[in-house]
Amino acid sequence: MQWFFDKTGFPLFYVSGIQVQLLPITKVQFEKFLVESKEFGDSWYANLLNINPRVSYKTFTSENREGIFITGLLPSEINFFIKWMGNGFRLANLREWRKIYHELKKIPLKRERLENLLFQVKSKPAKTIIERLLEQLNYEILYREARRELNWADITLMHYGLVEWVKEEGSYVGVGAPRPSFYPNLWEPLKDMVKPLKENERLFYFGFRLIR
Amino acid sequence: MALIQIKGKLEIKGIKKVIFILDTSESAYSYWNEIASLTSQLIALLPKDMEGELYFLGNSNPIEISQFDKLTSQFFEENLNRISLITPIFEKLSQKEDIFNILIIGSGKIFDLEDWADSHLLKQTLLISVKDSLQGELSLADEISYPTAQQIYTYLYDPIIEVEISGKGFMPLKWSNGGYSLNIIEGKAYLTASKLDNYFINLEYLITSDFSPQAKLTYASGQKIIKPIQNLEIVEMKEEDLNLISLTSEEEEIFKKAIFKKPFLCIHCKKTHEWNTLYCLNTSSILGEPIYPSLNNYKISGFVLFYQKDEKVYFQDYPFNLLKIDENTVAFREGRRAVLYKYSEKEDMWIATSHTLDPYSKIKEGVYAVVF
Ligand SMILES: [Zn+2]
Repeated sequence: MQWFFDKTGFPLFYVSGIQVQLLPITKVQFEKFLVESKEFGDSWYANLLNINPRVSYKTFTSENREGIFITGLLPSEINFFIKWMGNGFRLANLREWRKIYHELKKIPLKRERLENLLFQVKSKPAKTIIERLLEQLNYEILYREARRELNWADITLMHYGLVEWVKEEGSYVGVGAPRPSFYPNLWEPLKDMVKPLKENERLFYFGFRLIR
Repeated sequence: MALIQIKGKLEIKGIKKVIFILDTSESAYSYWNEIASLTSQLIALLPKDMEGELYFLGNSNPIEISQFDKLTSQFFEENLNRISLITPIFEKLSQKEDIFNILIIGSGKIFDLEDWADSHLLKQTLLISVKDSLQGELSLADEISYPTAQQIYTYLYDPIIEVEISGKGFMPLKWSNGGYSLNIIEGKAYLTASKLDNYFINLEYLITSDFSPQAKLTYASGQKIIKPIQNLEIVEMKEEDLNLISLTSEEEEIFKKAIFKKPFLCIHCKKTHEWNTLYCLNTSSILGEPIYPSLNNYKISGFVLFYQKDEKVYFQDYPFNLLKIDENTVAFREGRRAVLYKYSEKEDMWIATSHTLDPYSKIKEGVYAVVF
């Protein structure tokens, strides 16, 4: 399994011929963009942090881990980030997202694969997040709740993570099923999609990841 | 690896390197006049030779502190509306080994300060708010509000209370600052000084080749840092340009007998003394008179080196407590005796031998050492 790294030092890997980011975009990644682009200022960011408060990647817990991801952005704002990332990055469309999710759900998580990633990853935040997340998921899924082996949909948080922005017929919709503790829902990602009622409404449970 | 003899120096500034980080973000730019004037006043209070850098929050390219007053408004324009994130600057500073006083001057929360909780950088940081707290409701670093420049200066003032120099095979031979003293503890030589106004020192020492001695600095705050000694040059054992003083011909007779361990006729009491006699006790002086009366005309610190050249004999005061005898041996003078220490490479220790330096020990061709 081959790992790739984006300009923020976070990992990507191949699924069904598509390079996909292991995790939704985190606040530390987004902050690199904020610093370099000077696109948005303090009050804009403070406002965004109000709807999903910032949690440090160094100390996030099982209970508050959604706080490490950047959420509540509007698609137009995400486009600034995509432009800054360059290198062919884009949002998936609904079909691509579901195909990736469907694949990942079937593949058991081999610990060596992640150990190999942890060995390669140079970004300290990325390494810390993956390590902590793996530890938390192991405890939650393997020992406490589901009592099953972890799969790749778990570690990528494509389920029990956020609702993620994807493109669909020239517009933007959400897909995914957050943990009920973060946002109560009964969505099934392979069937349901989530449409914001208003175009300019910031939804605290909406995040995103990029593919290329 | 052999010991080599090197000259070096340690320069210590009274105040640690200061890093200014100025906030020109949206939450602070209305207070720029306060931020800029506080910064200028503080720069004026700091020592002129102090090292330092000045950053703008969210921008990892520093400028020289000395440039600030001249270009204040230009820098303000260039950095206006940067976002309140510290990571770009801290990532850069964390690659440096220096120890800093970091001052962040501004207003409003720095969003990612928490990512640096418990880091050594944040421990060296003072947050200075001219309006709203820089850390919100968290308490991650020391913070003061609306201070005067003098208050900040007082906070920065953290004098060194002790310096300790040591290293692999380290043995100081000569040093310029009399406030330092040598201690040999469990085979390691330490040159230490405390409560000095000036810790600057030039020194000449033995050290295992490829190593540098290090100075451990202890500050009044309890903080300790390690600073390497700058190795300046390897000392070559050349014939030095010496201030040599001739012995009288009578004294030369004594010297020429003594170096062959033969008794000699004393100038003071006209009696015969053993070769290793250094003071004649048959005089009115209770301490005795040196058997070379010429020595009385000069300040003698302990070691005296005699030079035999072209049948003439000269002497020279050697005003240090340590004398290198050979590659791995030094004589450490304590009063009127000098104990020989040998360096054991295997144990990396200077071991005190049971021998003291014999009078007229030959330290190189034509050069003899005596402790008076
Ligand atoms: Zn005598």
